[in-house]
Amino acid sequence: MTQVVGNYISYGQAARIKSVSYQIVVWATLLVLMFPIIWVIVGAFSGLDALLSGSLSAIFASVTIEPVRQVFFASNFFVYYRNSIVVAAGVVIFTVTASTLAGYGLTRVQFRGKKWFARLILFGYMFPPLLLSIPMYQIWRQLGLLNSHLGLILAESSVPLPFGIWTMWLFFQTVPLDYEESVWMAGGSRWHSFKDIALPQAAPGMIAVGIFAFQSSWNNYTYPKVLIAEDSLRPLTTGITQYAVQNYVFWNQVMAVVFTIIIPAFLLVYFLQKYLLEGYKATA
Amino acid sequence: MSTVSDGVRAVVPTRWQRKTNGVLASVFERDKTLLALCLTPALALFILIALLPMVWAFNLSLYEVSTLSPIWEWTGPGRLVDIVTSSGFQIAFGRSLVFGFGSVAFQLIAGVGLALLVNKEFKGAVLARALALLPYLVPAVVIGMVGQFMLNAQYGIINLLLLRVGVLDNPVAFLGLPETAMVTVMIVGSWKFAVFVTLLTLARLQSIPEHFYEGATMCGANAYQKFRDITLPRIKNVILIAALLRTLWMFNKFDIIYIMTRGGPGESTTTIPLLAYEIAFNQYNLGEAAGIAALMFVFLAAWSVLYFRVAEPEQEVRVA
Amino acid sequence: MENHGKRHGGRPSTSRRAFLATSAAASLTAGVAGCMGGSGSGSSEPVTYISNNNSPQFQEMLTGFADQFEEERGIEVDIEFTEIGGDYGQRVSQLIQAGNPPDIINAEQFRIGAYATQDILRPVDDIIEAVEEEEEEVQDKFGFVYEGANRLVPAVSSVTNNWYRTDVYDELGLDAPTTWEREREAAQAIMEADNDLYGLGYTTSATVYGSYHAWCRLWGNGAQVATRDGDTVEVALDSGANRDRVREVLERAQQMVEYSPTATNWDWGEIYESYAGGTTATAVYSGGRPKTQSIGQDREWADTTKRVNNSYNSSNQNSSLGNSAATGYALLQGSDNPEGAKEFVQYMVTGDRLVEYARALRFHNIPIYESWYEPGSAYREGWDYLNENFEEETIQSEREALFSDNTQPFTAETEPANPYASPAFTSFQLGQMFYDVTEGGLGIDEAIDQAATTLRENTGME
Repeated sequence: MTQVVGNYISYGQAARIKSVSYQIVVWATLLVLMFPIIWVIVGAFSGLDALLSGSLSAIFASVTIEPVRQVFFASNFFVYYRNSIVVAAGVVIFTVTASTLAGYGLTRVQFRGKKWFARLILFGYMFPPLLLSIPMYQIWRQLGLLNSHLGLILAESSVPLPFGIWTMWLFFQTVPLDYEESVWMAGGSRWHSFKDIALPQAAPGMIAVGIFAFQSSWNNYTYPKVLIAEDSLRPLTTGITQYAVQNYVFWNQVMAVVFTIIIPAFLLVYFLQKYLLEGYKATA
Repeated sequence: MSTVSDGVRAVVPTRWQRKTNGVLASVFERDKTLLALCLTPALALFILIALLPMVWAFNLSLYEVSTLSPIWEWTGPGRLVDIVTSSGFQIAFGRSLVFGFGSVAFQLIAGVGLALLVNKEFKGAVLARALALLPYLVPAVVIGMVGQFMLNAQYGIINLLLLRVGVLDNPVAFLGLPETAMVTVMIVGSWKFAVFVTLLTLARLQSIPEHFYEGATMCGANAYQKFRDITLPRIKNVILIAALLRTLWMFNKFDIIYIMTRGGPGESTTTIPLLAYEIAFNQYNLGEAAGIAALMFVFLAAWSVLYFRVAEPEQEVRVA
Repeated sequence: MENHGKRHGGRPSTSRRAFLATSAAASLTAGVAGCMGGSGSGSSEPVTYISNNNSPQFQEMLTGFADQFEEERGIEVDIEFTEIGGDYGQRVSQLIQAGNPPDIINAEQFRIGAYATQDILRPVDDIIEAVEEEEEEVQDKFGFVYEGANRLVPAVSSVTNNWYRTDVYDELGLDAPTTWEREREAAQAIMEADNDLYGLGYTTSATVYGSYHAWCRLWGNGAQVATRDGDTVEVALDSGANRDRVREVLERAQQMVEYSPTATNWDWGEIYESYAGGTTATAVYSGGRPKTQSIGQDREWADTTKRVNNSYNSSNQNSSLGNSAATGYALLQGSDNPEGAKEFVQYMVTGDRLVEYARALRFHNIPIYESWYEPGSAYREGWDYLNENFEEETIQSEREALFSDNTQPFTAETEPANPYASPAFTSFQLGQMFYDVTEGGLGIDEAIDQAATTLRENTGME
């Protein structure tokens, strides 16, 4: 296999060189992309003084876990964290379920105006959100959904949902009807063909929607700001604003907070795609 | 109508139909109930969160309303004409075009490139993919703050590095100069959102079965041909819809710009959402701000309808 | 085509229904709020207060006040903590538009006019009287009178400080930056000494601080933004001799930016960070942040940081004219429990509570009662932070400046007070004008005209 003939290198060697150089390109690109995050991590473990000094050696000399510790022991940090997780989980479950169903319905049931229904739901993204918080507050007040996680989950789901529906609609279109029809031929119900045939094939789409829904809720600042006034119900995004008060920014603590926000997000993406995508590839 | 299944069911004995879940199975069997189940949640949320507030805001734009007073005074649709003809609006709209389309172009190129890069299987690919998607999970507010921090002329790391490497002789206030502020805001704003394009494209790439490529290789196709004939048709629509959504979102982008520049220096990064904000919360003219927002909506709606006509992003290729 | 027709048939009716639903909801809300507002006094509704300080320390302190108050008076107080800045205004506006205004809001002197001119502030003369009885006289300059009645209950104030590093100034043998000429000479000398230090932070930005800086610079040359003619308030920037004074200020701005780092987008944070971070040697600030921040960061120049008043053009002035900016509380019309709110505000701005509150602000904001500056006052006695970090000279110099007749709020350009000073301030047009003539490439006269026109269009001034 790895025989060298004259100046030529074997196919195997060429492939290996190609693969190694490819990986170098990938990791180098990621390093550049990751730079802001790397800097956040450096900031989270540095002294505020050093960060503001404008000297690299001072920054690296000031390593400390103090900012992270201060954030962890800040009032209500874990309460905010728990609220964020509860709300994000709710939003992911609701969004993935609702958009998968809608995507399936849109591809498998023919009805007039389907295309315009799908187009219309995107119109919700077109109005600058700045002023919509005022009527939203009023409507949620009428519905009695202010200061509740349920109300927040429903409101936050409205952001990823139109996108989710479109994504799932596109994904189900690529799942050939033939497979499902053969199930029906064999006497299976449509529920069955949906669950066992269509759903697994649309898994990558569901992951994309799930990640989107998660990030959308995890990072949502406006809705909790409008709908949640009670401190004990606040998620991280509105709970932690205390690190930048009255023109005074504790940069290293802000970085520490960002660091703790990123970790669960990273774990989620890592495991979601590791298990679900690999599972999918195995069955495809 | 799924006539095939109806037909099949007619000849299949009842006991052959597996009933794993009674209620769901019966809901799924009939088109009408399936449709109701599928579309009601989306529709209800759409009305409550998108439609009603939008109607409210449109209505608001026809009144003279102070941000700080509950009293509404009728002024009529002439208000919208006044806004469109004002130079402040026109200049801000021009900036929005630059920011919106410029950012989206950047995001599409970078996003698709990144997706193609990490799609291949290699040792550590799972980690590489997770890392590539990570920027998308950083809150926009935070990106604005971190961006501002890194770009600071006195202590920001970007200046420190560029000075050390020798690219710059003196620190540059990237966010403080009219020549660089807009481009800087576009790049920082795109860092996260390019990854949205990556996320969508990657999911789509991952669902293309490996044997398609194997088959093509056996037929002697080169890399470019495989990309053109297998990859591109399958990611085309996902990219089209990503482009549309990103356009809508970037035109309405507020937080990152506001945090990094407040629309400055001067007004050089004051796009439409920042203008609306300024008018609503610094000049306290809520009605006019609603008018500006409504006009932005009208533009984006017109753009989308045109885009739907030309690009037809919903027509996914059928893969038999 | 079929789809098309259906869309046109379907949408208007949906919109109409939706619109009816919204207006029904809105009027219902307004109605409910109206009823409650009417039965306001003596109601058992909790007092609602939206606080603009949500640091853990303030949250704890204010919640403590509320609990103590409830225990003593039997009135419940709900405090919602929001951060200062744009978000605060948005939240208050949301609640007002929803017909659900809070009883108490935080108000700054330079913002309160915008609320007052909408007739949404309750008179607070009785609170001020009660406070004066308990503490001492509240000077007029700390309040805000609109249509004959006080609308702001001041708690603390800040004053224009031109902070400078005496270590640098002394080493180079420079005079304190009291006048335009001294300030410029010092800035130039510091730049020429070439030790990575800029002479000053001369800000030309359309931000809150940019507005503040611009207005102070105008006052340094005796230029005015507004003038009054009977019932109307007029923009004065572009008229008569005042225009010449504005022009001189802008000419000087073009010169002074040479001694400053690029400050075209600076807000409060950047100016004090540049000072505390060792980039600039001089900084104009409303309050003590450049010094308190230097103390907080343990800078070697924390102790040598001293203040002078807003610098002035000695060729046509013989004294400084500076700004005082009081902050405190205002009460909103249409809220549920105005009587309880009055009691709570009075409770917060008197006695031990005010001492605790003022101390928490770390001499960034300073007391509005002159006797508090005496060594041994309840405020100063036993407060290590102040006594160890601020030498007597600085403390007394701030006091003197604050209570001098040459220190006034921006509203005081006219008599009675200019209610449009706050929209003029928050429109950022003054900062924009400074930007236009420095980085923006506009001629000075053009920039003045543009700023004046925009102010006339947007502020209610003529």
